[in-house]
Amino acid sequence: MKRPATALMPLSPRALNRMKLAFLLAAAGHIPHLPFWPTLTALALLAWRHHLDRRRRPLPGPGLRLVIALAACGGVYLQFGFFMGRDPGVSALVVLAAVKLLEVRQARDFHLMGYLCYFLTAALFLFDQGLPVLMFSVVQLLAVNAAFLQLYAGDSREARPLRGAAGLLAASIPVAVVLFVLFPRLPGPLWGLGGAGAGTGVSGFSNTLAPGSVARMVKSQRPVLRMKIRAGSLPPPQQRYFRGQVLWLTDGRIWYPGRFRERIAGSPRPGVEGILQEIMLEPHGQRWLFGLDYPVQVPAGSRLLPGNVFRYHRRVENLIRYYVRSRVGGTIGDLSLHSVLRRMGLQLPRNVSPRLREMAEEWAQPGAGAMACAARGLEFFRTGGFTYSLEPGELDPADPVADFLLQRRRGFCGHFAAGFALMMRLCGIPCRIIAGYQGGTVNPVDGQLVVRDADAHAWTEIWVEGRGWVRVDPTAAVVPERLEFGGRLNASLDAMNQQGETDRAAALRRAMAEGPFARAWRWIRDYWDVARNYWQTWVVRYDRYQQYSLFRRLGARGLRGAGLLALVAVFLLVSWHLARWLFRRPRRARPDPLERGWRLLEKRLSRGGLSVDAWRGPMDICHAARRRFPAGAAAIEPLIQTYIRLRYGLGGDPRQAREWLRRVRRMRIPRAPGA
Amino acid sequence: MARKRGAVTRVRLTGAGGAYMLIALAVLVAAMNYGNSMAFILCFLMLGALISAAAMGRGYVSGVRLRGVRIHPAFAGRGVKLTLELTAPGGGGRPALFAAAAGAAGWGDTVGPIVLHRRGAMIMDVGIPAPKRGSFRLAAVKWETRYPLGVFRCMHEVRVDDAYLVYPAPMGRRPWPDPESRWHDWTEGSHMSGGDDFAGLRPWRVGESPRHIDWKSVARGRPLNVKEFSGGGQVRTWFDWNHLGGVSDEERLSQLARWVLDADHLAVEYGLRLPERTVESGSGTRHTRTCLESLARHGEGE
Repeated sequence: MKRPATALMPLSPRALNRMKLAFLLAAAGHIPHLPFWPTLTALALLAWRHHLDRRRRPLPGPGLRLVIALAACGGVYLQFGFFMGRDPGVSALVVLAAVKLLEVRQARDFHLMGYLCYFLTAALFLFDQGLPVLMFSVVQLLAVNAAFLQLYAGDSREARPLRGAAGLLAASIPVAVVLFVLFPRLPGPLWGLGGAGAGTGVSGFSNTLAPGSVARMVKSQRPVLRMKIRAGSLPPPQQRYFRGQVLWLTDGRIWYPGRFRERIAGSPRPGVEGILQEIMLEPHGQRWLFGLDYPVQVPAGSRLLPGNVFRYHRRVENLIRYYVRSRVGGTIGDLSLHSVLRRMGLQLPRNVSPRLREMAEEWAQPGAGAMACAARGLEFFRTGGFTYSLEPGELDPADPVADFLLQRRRGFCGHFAAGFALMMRLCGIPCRIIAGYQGGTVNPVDGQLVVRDADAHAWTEIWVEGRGWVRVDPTAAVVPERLEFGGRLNASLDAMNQQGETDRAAALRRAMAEGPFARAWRWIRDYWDVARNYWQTWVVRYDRYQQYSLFRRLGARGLRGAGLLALVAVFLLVSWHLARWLFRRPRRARPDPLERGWRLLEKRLSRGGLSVDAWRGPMDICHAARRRFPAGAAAIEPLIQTYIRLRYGLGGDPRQAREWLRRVRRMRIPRAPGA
Repeated sequence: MARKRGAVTRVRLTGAGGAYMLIALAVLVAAMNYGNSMAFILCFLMLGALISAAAMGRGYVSGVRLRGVRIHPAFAGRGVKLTLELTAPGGGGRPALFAAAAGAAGWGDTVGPIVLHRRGAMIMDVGIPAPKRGSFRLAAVKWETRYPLGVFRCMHEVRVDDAYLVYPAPMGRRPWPDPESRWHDWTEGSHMSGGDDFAGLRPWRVGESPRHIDWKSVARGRPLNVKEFSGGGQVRTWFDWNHLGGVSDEERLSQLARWVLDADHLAVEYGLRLPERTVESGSGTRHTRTCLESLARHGEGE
């Protein structure tokens, strides 16, 4: 069969404008998480193309486009230093798609542009999988499909592309929902993940602690993890320490975890009674998992490290859920300290200020135990005029700890923990810093504990012979309220610091008392959190296990793998037939008034002796009738003329058509002279 | 118009549709690899749109009716023109239809896009190739669209079994045969004959006086013709198959068609003699059509 090129629609300006709109939406979706310039460049190129089209100017030539594309790639390289991975990849995609837009001239380019928009939408989900993003992506999909419809339906009044695209989408949503539930999920990735979110610092929790260089701390209220108690009861706020990682080593400014060459076992206590927690952890790009202090039984796929922290087998780049059992309110009852750990727990930076050494000698009275020494340290923090502040300003980079402890005396948990830990080490007590979260708020809607970015916390543990590692929280010595209010304290901090020491608690309570707006806002936030949680559990985190448990609940236990694929195939077949039925056009519709009238007219004319073949057009029949029935010509001719006007003119008025039908019914064909 | 064996609707994936499926597959692979539920949803939405687009396009073309076909006779070598009348009795309008027809020599070019308004009708012309003269039967008429997403070509094909004629291509440079006159002998002293009444035109022959050449029509690009004047005398020319020796049958037919057309143009009276049939002398459009039809049907074994 011949395949003529003419069956392609010409690219109309209107279709092109719709595609520009689709690209605008697709590129705008990436503004929040990419560096500003790729999206900005893309939008500028889009505006340029639009300008050229409006002025009917020629599009830029291939040389210029190449230069722009190369410049974009160079910019991506300068920004990220590499091309692999999520951020540079998506940045390049955004700009190069805009360059492609500069050369869209025919249907082929138009298709490619639309498909690039689909890709940009898919790339959006690498950054965020929330419900709002899905809704936005549906709008993007609608825009792209409307552009295609505008192309393939032409510019006529009948086209109505947005309506067609909405129809397509409405029909495809049920298909998508069923396929989403049925499509079998793989146990793991097909191949190694190229560190999609590596180092992007999704959550506020970072790998190291650098109190000196961090001038301010995030006040973000973004949820980091959710905890549901599966066995046991929720501990009070003061006991809710979420252990994340242990920082052993310091160079005087930064604390970091350090590496262990030897395998030193952690201290699990299998079978021990404790609080069993189900934790949904937001992606943070690291391998750390969190659990109530201190974890004794860790989830599958993770490993307990020295210091009773546990690491996941890969980076947490999606929301994950795990169970962990913890023993709350005790000490980590190690009976002996491994020599390597002792060495690390006593490691000191190269140059420590002599004034700090002097102070340490003062604290470490000979004969007194570690606990007494720590108590003296806490006393120093409590009475030394320290202020809890989220914006302490930068410390002297030469010796930040001395600067903080002896002069500045303003800081947050990181400063207190780092200062205290160094002092303990100077006193000869093995000490380590624990980073994690503390506090959290219970959502009254579903009773789950929500831990947010602002709840991030750092505290210390000291080694006490005979007791093991004992938690000491120097921050609590400065602001005991921190333990009760957790991250919520941060918002009311200014009010607290302005008041004198005596009525601090009262001022805090006053500052934290909610007005009606705040209460309404919290109410909305609580419900939104719960909705988000359900979304995360049942949609974002819908994996193999969710699938199994869903089918188990539906009574189809053991339905998996090949069985599901077969079900998917059957469903696709059924939906194809369903869609055919849905989109069928009525085949035997009742003829419209014009058709009925014309048939009647033809019948009467042929009864009068005129041969009315199907191939004869109305004009032809009109001439024949004039010859055949000279007497009736005055009646017949205007009827046929009106028919031609109504039928072949642009969109006849139905009222006129009905009126015409009535006239046809009234008309009588005069007897032809020869008949 | 006779329709046979009903109609077929076909849905074919286009190249763009193949690319669309590849994109959906890429999104699926990415979804499986990253365990990304939203990418799964996007992929399945794309798949759902694909299924709906196929069904939508199918309904789009299968609801269109062919109300009538009118075939315009044509000469071999040029296409036969068909006038189709398409209606959309149910559902909305169809703004982007392409149509084509097939005759004995295969499919003609696809024509479009046409806009079929809601409850309206549309008349459009399509061509079918006609390389040879003769009488043939129409095979099919189809209309198609790539609506809505361009990922499918949805075609609706109806069988149409109408007959159509292709006249021989008018060709040949043989001189005009000698006319015969009822009352005057035209072959001798032709320019002497005459009278006052203009009788028509006939081609100029070498040796004739240029005085009676119709220079005005020459100026309009016509061949050299001689004005004939007669005093009520009738001119009649016979185009005879048997006088054309030495060439193939088809060339003879082409030459005869050339003469018939010329004679029709000059409005002279002429007759046609073929081996199996003779068309009596006459003139006018109907006569010309009869002659051309006879030429087209030559050798059909009537």
